[in-house]
Amino acid sequence: MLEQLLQAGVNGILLGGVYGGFAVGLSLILGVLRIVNIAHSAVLIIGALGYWQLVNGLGLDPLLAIVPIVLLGYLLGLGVQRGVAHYLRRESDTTVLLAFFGLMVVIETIAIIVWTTDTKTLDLHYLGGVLDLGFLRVPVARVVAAGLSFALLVALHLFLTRTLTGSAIRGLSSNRDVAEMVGIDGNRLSRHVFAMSIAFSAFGGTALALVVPFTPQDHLRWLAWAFLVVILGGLGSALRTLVAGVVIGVVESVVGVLLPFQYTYLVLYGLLAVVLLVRNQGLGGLKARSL
Amino acid sequence: MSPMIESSALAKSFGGVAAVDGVSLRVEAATIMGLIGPNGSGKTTTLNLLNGAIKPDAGEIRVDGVSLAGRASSAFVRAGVARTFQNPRTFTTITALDNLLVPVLHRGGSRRRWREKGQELLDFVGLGAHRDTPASELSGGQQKLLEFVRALMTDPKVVLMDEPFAGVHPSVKEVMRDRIQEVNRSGTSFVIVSHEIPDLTRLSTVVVCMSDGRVIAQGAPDHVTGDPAVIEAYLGHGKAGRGERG
Amino acid sequence: MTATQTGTTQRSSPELRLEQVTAGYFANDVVLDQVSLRVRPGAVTAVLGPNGSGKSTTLRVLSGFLAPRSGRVLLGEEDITALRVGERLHRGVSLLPQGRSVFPELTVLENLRLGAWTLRHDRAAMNGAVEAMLERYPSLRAFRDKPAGSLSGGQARLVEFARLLITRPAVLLIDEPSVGLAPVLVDEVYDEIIRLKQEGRTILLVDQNVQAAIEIADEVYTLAYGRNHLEGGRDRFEGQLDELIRGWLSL
Repeated sequence: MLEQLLQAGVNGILLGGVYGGFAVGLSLILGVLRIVNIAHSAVLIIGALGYWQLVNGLGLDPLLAIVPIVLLGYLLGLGVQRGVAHYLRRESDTTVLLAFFGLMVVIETIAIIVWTTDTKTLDLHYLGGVLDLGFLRVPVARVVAAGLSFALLVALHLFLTRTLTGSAIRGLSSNRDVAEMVGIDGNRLSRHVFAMSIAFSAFGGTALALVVPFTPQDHLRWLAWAFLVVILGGLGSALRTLVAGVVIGVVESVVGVLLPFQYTYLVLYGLLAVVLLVRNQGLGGLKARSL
Repeated sequence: MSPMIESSALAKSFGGVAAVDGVSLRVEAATIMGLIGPNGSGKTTTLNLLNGAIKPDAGEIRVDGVSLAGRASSAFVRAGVARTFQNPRTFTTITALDNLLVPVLHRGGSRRRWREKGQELLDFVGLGAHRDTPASELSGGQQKLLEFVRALMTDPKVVLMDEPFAGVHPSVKEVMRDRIQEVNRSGTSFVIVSHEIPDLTRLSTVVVCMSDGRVIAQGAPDHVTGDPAVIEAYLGHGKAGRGERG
Repeated sequence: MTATQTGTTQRSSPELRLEQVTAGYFANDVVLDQVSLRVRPGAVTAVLGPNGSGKSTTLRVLSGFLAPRSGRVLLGEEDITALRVGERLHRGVSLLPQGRSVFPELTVLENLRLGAWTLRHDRAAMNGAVEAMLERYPSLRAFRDKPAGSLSGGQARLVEFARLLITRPAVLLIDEPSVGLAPVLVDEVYDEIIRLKQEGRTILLVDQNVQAAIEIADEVYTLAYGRNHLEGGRDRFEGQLDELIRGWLSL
């Protein structure tokens, strides 16, 4: 039993890292730009599919193939921001939500047309196989995905808290008028934050592909999971997103060992309810302030 | 006869700073009370306390004799207190007439009669032709008028108004003023916060001046605007330690 | 103390002018109606008026947050009407907004560094500017790593002054500096404004605290219903403040 729990715990931490990794894009765009990016999971899917295409289709190295996906995500983000999000800034929340929903549908449909609804499993190449430590067995790909997620989240945290641009981003999300007042170009910075968050979402897709088989229609389930992480972790902190992801991963894995699997969701949403009640601020204070 | 609304020793602090510090007011029936005072004197907080939007730290609020301090704002509305805001809070996605139906949706009675009443009130302020216009398409002044008659839908005993004349066209101001007086003649009281003091003093039957969270003068309009304490409040504090003003 | 240490401006300050400015927020809204004023260097120019007279809007136009419908904003000889907020900061026009304007989740130091955002390409200059502000307001050192949202009103105001001055602007636009501050702190704020005047800067002060503003002003403009009303030197207004207020109360 202990061994099972340990295995579950480690699994949970690794999975949790991946959850954090694929939720951080949403946390960033929601926390800084106040945009509820419903299309987040669609970007995850496109990232996963594009990654699959490069690794299975073109035979690229699974580690190296992540880079072009993330870069393409950044460029896609810049494109979408200029084309769509910029105009949406003055629209009502409902319009923005609808627009991104529309985007999600478009992306999902393109994905299905190009890649069909067949389940895709990533060809792991040299990342296949399992690390056997006797009392513990973990798939190598999972360790890699989790490791990369952890590293990325820590890097984002350091960027936001230790660099001047990071401070500017945090300042912009806190009070846009005052940020403009000190000379920060709010539009330009927003554009890059948007692109960054899409890039993170694309990365999230690659991490997922490394860990589970997937089809284009899975994305809605992942969307719910991403929101769960973001709500639990609160906005505005890469570290808290990571911790939330890990908590969810561990609870999911451990509960899966102790109780029939149907209880997993119950426990997780119960945990969410408790946290929200205790914290009493839900989505971490989304009120925008201005001069 | 008990006053429409009265408060005694009302107090509210935010983060250690007393926004309202012992405010006692009596608004009799058919009164128009003008509430003036420099920025930060506690006027809006007082209004918020009087309609239950925020709960007082201390003090009493009675509406027509019934004690309501600490109750939710819905209790205040049921007791007959209505409110308008500086930036009109109309429901922008629905029509003008539907806006008026919102406060009475949960009450019984025939929909048709409520719609008729709504139409009457729209006509009352000259918005009759706009009953099917989405509120977002109305001008700022028209939205303020809409919010005003929305407050009247529930036949309130007292209407609290925050800057009803701010930023509106003079013609709208005139309509607003005339209608307030007309409604007042039928017995409804008003408490109006406004920085357009000359307009307010012409309209009010009694004026109250606040400063630093306290009432420093109340009485007949001309009396209050000539009161040295009021002049002093608007002058602000000079350098501490400096004695006489020039 | 050398000029660098106290953060004084080296160049002589320009004059700032509003020329016949008409401005408003919504389509048909006229908040300022052909308003003109002149803010001279080395002096405090106060803009007074009852609530709703357009004082804050004047500052929004001068700082670049609101584009006028007609009229011009002139800095020295240059027409800066079309310049946005950040560009005006580059020209040395800095705003101290009303109320709390620190970034609450960021530390005091981060707030200062962001104040020096326009210096970010020269790290030495940025660090020097931050250091200069810590020299000018030594008590800031004690809470440099505290989140600005946890500071008291007076401490936050100090951070806001430091951030206002960190780029050594020649022109200062100050909006209601004493609102919400305890009387003792109010004195310190106005003393600091006098000091800034003595450093030769061009200062526009919008204030509802008529008493305090007149005491330190050299030139006074009053607005009423969005238009120019009275103007003149301090001596014209001193001794007639009661009349002035009475006028506002019965305009």
